[in-house]
Amino acid sequence: MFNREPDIDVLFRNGLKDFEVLPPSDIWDEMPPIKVTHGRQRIFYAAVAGLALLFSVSAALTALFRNNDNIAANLPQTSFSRARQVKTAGPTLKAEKSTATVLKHEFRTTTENSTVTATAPASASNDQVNDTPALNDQNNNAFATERNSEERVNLAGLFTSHDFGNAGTSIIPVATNETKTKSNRFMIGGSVAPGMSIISDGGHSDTKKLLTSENSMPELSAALSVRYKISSRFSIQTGLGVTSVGQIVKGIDIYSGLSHYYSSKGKFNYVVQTASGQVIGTNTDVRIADESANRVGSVISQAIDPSKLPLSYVNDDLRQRFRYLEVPFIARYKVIDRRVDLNLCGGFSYGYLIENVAFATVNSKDVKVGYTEGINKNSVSSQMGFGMEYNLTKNVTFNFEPVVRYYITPFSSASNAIDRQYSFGIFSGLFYRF
Amino acid sequence: MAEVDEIIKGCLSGRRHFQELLYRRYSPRFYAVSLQYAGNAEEARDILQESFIKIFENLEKFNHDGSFEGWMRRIVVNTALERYRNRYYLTRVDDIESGEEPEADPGTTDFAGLEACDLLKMIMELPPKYRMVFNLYAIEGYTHKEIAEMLRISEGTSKSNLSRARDILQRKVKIFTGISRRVINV
Repeated sequence: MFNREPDIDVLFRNGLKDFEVLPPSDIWDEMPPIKVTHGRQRIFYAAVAGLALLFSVSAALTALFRNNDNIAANLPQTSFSRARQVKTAGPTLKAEKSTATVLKHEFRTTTENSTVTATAPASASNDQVNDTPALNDQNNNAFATERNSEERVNLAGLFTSHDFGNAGTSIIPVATNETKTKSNRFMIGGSVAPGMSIISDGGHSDTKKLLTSENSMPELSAALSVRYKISSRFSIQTGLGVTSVGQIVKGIDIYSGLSHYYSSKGKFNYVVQTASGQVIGTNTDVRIADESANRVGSVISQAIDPSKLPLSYVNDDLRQRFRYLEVPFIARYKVIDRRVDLNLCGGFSYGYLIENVAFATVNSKDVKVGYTEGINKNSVSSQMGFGMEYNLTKNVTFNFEPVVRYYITPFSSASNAIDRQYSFGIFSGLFYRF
Repeated sequence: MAEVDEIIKGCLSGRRHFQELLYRRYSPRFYAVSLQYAGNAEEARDILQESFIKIFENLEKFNHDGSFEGWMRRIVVNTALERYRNRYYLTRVDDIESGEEPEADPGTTDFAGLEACDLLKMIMELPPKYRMVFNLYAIEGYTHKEIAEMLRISEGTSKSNLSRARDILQRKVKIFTGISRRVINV
């Protein structure tokens, strides 16, 4: 018996407790194999994969360009005068044989007419020792002259930019790139990047259907960055940036002026089903309609028909824009150190959703419609890029860097929403070295 | 029979066999829950399938603090809610009523002869907005404030929907028990 109203609750709660109904047998058969994702593992593997790729490509490119340098250096050069080649023959040869030592210690001795190394390697071969007297015979040894011309070129490549004019023998530091960068370890700059996202419908047929009437808005990023050089090749970078992504939902008619005729009781009047999630129409002044597909729902009482109201037409596209404030943490490795440097970069970026707006545009003016529900506020992505740096002046460089980004966190918490898995952007900007 | 912990471990290692074990063990219970929220078999089927996909995908997030079944049940209920919210706005189900309400004899009622499947059928026959509120309040134990947030309605609406749902169910129970009694008497 029940005399009090809530007893009906107890009846149903107890009655349905542990109640079981055998589901149709084909449900399991239709369920796709499900991979269990381990969040931490995924981040770890993404980091390891990124670093492994970074180092392997760096190593490969370094090896490739070293080989090219050797080939170029071994080509016969005839542009130097024979007299000068002969004059510098002996010491030059010696210097080339101990190239590694020169680069390592960054010291050299100068003599009046020629360049010699201050420290020859302890393991210098007997050939090297024996070569010197032979090459000092400037008048007779044609073989030595020929050989010197090759080796001078190589050495010239090492020292071209330096002034060795000091008379007498002295030890002076050579202004190599490494010593140069020690005084210019910081770089600050700005860059912008147009890009595009690769989105996934997650295998949901509803989302797939919704995507047929949606286009992605171009992705745009802008960033201010600070870079610190740890060594001549390695640097780390952080900064602050803004990335904007979005969708254009076609065929959604938007009108304004509804609030003159209808006073909304709730916080919204309309919702629009989109591939990114439900747009909640918090602007109670707009009427949203979708004549061709059943994507718009309304909480306005059926006693009122807004389609008969004299409202102002705004647009037939609904736009969703999501802006993230981003802080990247990027490691950079210089693969080629020339006038145009080539860098490999990789790292992570944390983004916080600062804008989530759905709007329509009329006469280049945005009319806010509402927001998209379920978009995750936090976004973590890993990124890899291959950049080029061109030194415009001693302190200013132009940066050009295609970057691929993989989003570790899901775009939306709504189960049927699209997922932005990858994006590709080309960063370009100017950096100032100080 | 494999222990639940063992099944969870197997599922976490991505083995299909353990996923199937988990499904076979809990799907009858959750299919009943799905029916309770869906109102029809087709929708319940989708809820069940989607729920188990979520369960497998998020299994590592289960922290073993509470009941595993309770954790899974919340996923099923949330999946049903999400689908309801999508469907609700797309089809204006708030305006859909179940038609003529059954008339009931006033007076007291006993529940003899009421089976769980009869109760389920009664809930399934409720209009969606009443069904959701009744399930969330009476079966799951959520407060009106929580329900209002979940369904994006006001607390007042939640209360009135619950009252309406109780009303309808009460009448249905009375009719059912009345019919049962007559059948038994005959």
